[in-house]
Amino acid sequence: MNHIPDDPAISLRLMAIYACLLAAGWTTEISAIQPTRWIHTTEADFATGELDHTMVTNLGDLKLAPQVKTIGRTPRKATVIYDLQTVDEEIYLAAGPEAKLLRHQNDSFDTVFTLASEQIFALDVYQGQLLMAISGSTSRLAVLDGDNTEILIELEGIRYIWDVIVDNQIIYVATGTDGKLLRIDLSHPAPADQDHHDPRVKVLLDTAQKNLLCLGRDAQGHVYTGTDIDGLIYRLNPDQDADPYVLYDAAEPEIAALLVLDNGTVYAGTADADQAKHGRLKGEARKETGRPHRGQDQNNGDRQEQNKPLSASPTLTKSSNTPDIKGTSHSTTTNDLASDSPALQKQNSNHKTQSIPAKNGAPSTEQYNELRQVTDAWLTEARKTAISDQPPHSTPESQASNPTRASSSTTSKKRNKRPQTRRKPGNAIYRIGTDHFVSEIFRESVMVLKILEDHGRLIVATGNEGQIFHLDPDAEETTILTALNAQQVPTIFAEGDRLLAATANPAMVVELHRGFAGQGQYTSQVLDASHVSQWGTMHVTAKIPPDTSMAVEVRSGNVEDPERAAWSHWSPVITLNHDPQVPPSTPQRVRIDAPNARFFQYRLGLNGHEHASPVVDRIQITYVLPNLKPRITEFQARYPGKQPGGTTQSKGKPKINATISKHESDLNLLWKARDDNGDQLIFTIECQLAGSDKWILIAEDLSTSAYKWNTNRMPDGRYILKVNASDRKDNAPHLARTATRLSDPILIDNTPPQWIAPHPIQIVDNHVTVKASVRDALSPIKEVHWAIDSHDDWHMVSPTDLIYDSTAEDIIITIPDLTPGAHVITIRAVDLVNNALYKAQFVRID
Amino acid sequence: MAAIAQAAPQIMPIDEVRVGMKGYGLSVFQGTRIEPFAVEVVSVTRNFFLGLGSGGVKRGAIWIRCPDGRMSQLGPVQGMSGSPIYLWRDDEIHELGRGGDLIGAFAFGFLGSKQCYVGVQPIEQMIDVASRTDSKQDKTTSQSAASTLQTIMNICDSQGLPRHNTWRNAALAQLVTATGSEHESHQQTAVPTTLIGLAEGKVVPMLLPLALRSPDLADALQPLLNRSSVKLVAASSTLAGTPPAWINRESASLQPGSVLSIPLAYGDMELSASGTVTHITDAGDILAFGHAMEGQGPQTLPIASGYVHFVMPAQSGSFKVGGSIDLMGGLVRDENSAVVGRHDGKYETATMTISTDVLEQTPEAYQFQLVKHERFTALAAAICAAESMMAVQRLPSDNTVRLNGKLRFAGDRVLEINQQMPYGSPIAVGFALMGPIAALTQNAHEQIMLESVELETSVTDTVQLAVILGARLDHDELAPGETLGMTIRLQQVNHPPIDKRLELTIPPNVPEGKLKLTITDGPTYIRKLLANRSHLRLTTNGDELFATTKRIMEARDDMLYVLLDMPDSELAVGRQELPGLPSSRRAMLATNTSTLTTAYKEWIEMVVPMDLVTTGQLKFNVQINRSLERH
Repeated sequence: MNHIPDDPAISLRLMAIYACLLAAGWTTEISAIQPTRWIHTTEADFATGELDHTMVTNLGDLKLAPQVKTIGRTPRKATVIYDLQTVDEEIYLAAGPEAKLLRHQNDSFDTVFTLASEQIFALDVYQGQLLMAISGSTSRLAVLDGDNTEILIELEGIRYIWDVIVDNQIIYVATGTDGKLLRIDLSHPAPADQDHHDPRVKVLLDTAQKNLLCLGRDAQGHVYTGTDIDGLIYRLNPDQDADPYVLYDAAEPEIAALLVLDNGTVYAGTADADQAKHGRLKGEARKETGRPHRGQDQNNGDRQEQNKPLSASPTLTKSSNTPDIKGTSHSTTTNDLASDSPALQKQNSNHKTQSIPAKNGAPSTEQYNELRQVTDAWLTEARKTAISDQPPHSTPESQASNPTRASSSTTSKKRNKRPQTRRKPGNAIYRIGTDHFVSEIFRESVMVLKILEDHGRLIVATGNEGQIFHLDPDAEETTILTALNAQQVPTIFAEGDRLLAATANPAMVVELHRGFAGQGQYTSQVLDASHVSQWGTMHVTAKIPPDTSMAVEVRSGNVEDPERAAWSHWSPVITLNHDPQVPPSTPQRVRIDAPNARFFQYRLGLNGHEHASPVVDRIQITYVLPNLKPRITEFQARYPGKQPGGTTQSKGKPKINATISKHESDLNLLWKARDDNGDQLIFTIECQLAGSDKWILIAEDLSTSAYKWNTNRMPDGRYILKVNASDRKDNAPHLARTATRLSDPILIDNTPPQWIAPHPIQIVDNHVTVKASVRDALSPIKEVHWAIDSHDDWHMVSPTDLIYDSTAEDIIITIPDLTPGAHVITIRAVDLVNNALYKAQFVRID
Repeated sequence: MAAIAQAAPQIMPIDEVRVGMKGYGLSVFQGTRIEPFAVEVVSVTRNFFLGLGSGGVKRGAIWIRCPDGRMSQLGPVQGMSGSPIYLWRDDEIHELGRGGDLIGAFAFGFLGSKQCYVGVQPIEQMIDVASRTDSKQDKTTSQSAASTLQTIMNICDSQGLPRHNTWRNAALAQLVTATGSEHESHQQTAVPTTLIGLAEGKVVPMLLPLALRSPDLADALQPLLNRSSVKLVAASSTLAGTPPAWINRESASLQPGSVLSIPLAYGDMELSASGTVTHITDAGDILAFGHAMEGQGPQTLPIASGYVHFVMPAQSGSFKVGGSIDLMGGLVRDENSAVVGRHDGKYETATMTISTDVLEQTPEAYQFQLVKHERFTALAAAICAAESMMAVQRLPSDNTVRLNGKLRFAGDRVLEINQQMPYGSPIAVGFALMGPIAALTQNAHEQIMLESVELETSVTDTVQLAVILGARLDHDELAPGETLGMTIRLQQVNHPPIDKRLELTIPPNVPEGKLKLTITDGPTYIRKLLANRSHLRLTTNGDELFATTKRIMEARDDMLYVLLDMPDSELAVGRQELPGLPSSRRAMLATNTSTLTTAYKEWIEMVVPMDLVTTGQLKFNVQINRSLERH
């Protein structure tokens, strides 16, 4: 394989040589065969290949993936990790199904303790110690003191603790199965009398849903929580006893992940397990959709970091000594989406309702006025009709939130019947802006289990195929960062310049480094050219930043599986380096050095570093097939109303006085032909009378696959038709290929039957008897009728052998009780192809 | 003939035994007096494998004829196991009861023969057993709860006991079978090889008779001892706690030829298996029986001096009828060739108190000490309870037996006994105790030993039983939060039908849909519980086994259970039920790669007290419809 430089001068020289070759007589040979192109440019195109430390974005960019490394081994019995937390640089895991607290030591996770009849679904840090939310018949909060457990508080009647937020000595607790949000103030001592209500515990929210699964908190102290069953997101101000309200009612039944930014922007991920199915929701993106241009949008600032999968900035680090920061979902990250993304800040600040957040976090009056008409009408209609569609004039990307008031702790927990919504497949991430407008920024056939903010982008942990997504809402870019060898990724945790992800089924902890892997490889799927082909030029469109490079290799073979039988060796590596003179959008041409073969494969080696990766936008391979013979797969000739072969469909009893069918003279010729080269085909039709060896031309240079042939002037007889297909229009005459197909024999009969009456008509009294024979040369007699003194009062005549089954039939017609006088007896005989004989006989009755 | 005690007899190895040699044996035929009986060697077999295949140890046996008149008449007597056999050397005076060298113990015999032929266990093989008394071998389980409970259920079937009196044992059998399969396979290889080998050779092992008062009870319960050499025999009243006056207690001691009694229960009734002492070693070890009692090696049972009322001649095998006199120590070793007792051998007992209030009888109270033993504790409790119930008279055919009490086990575990038994019987009462005791003492995880039994029983001559005939629901469609009224018709025994009015409140959070409503009795409730919550049957330790056992025992015979099944499945991790999980958590736990997580269904449960035992089951479909909610 040779690298063809993109130097215009060199290219021109090559083109001149090429032109000379054509002029020297190669022109026709080469130009007669149309080259075929194999193009990889969309996510779907690249997704068919094998990714090794590389990833493909939904925009169809192929680049290096982040570095992924497994940390330690978990005990065999631990198959699920619910949560992960670090304290004093030690990693702790809440594992199941048999509840265990694991601690990372010496390259493995050792069991600190096991709980026989309880579970730990959530971990956090409380005053420098590991906080464990232990779920059981009486759930409790406890801290780990050395290897001992110190109980902070027992929560009578609470079955599950799904999430906690620590704010100094205040702990917010999302619970189940009674759907309560608790505020626990540990600054007060425990009451001496354990039998009475613990004044440290305050129920902030008592919902009608079973479980509150996740928590978030903004800079103003509003607490957000998501529910199962109805997929509601509540917001409330814990410092004031204002009613909480539903910030959003998702179409999906379960909010499992919340990310709340300081300014109140909420990202909510849904996790309806029924919607987590194998494969992508719509498959990989199959079209080139372009990409948002942010450079000239003042609202988006000038951030141009599309090629960075994870920021190398350590600002997301959650210090284990910062007890008021919960994991990665909570709002108190020091560098959140709003603050880090000038675009978003600007966008939000431009909104007229954004400037002053409403008290208690509720939408302002202006906002209500704006939204009420649309939203209330929608909700009212939905409740009435039990169909909840999107609000009128609202797309999913601009959906208004539902400011429905929620029940407070003092209201009934009765859960109203939920409207039957038209569910979208998959689960989603909704962005609820500070203006309470909702946009759907992600939808896939996964459960969204955790959302982490990372410099304006989102890291999304999902199940059930162990995928971690990377979302760039501004760039509308969705990338599978990695697909771990586990079913679920219940949690991810930011620590310094790395992310820790914990999985379930099986349980493991992986470390994702911020920055690209140093090297990666992409091996394409095997291309099947369907025939042995000649490989031409490969065009590589890629952005190759400084200090990065790409290596291109190809190979070919004649068996589908390269592992099953020998292919050619991989071609010598062609290296593409950064060239400031070559714009990223300019394809670089690489001549393929692979033997002619039916199957083909290429391999790209991406070499980058922590901060940069080559980004492949498009791969195009050109190849040509030899001129292949056209193929005619079907050829039919039939008259209208007849089955192929000329037989007439006739069911049931014949109708008396039935009008005879018209004799058809237009024979329909239909054929199916194709050319694997895609060449245009032209057709010739010929016929041959049985017994003759001469072909008679019927039509030629037809470009369609049908022809109507009038057989009225053809002699009676049986014919065979021939269709000939030729690709000569797209090929030189000596390279043109033809194909021929014959029809089944077809009968052409334009002559009516003959009337043979050797005996005169007998008249006895007033009865008339006609004896005769009806004969046809080719077609069987179909029917004989008579009429007397009429043109339409036909009477059926049965043949003497009682069956019309041959080309000669004897008939006897007896007409009784004729009145005296002259009469006209008309006899009609019809053959199978509807040629009709009319015979008039005159009689007189005295 | 005076009893002769040989201080330190010479040992005659089997290699020196010759056909035709004569001698004598020593045993007690009445009272405590040791008497000799003449023997003559008829054959000697050496180095054969007793047991299955070549897996056993090479053994020898000496076959003797007993020309003694009593023996010819009685045949081999059960209870003579271990009787020492001495042979005279040519230069000795042939005088019964004097001289001779010890060759072994009377161990097995032939049935139905015209003369008494007996197999002798060579003494050197018995002494080998004594050499292993200090081994550190762990005591292995000789009996599995699954086997015991299955045998109980077989006996219940063969005895025709009503299902409403035996269902708890059926449920317990299901429970322990789920966890005891591994143990059960081990059990199959733990059968004493001596017994098997000789049974195949048409030779009946000499068994250790344990006398009960009721022949029916003895016959019924014998299958529970099939893997031991204890034989239940029917004799006269065994409720006497002390030996008869003519027995000279002072003369009773443990010496060759004397009775060696194994008390399984004592107090107001005594249950003792009896055999004979063969030899006292220089170290003081008491060798006896010449065959195994259970054959499991280490053993912890009490031993006592004993006496014989008389020998009961029987075609099926004569046996000694006797009892214990004084506790003398404990059995420490139990192998195929012998058992070994020591005066300092340890054993423990559990206290059982049972009061009876049977019809017009004066209420009685009995107290027993039950030996703590994985096999015999449950059986002894059952026998003591059954015998107590019929201490005065048989129960009327139409009756209702009420049981109230507590079974206390190690670790402060307490099982409440609260049962009603229409058409009750002593054996059903015994099994009511034996089932749970066996389930815990013989389980595959850890031995949970019985500490005490406190049981109050009362018997009336009415049958407190009703069959569920039918029911009528007020509605078949209702809204969450509403009350479902229902009228249930019950057919009482010997009384007209009665109607019972019930109301079930549907919780407000019940999902919509068609739900199954079941009205059922205690047995079906437990069966449904164990079927639906399979995790309750998966026990990995004694605590979990006890928890499920307790749940089974707590189900009541005199309650109606109204169950409304919820439509959605819930998950359990191990035995830990996790109701109401969100779907994302369920997806993590319910994977097809783990059986640790199981699905079950919740139901709304209403338990209705009744005055009588109810049986039967009805099922309805109830539609829950939120649109019917009244605003």
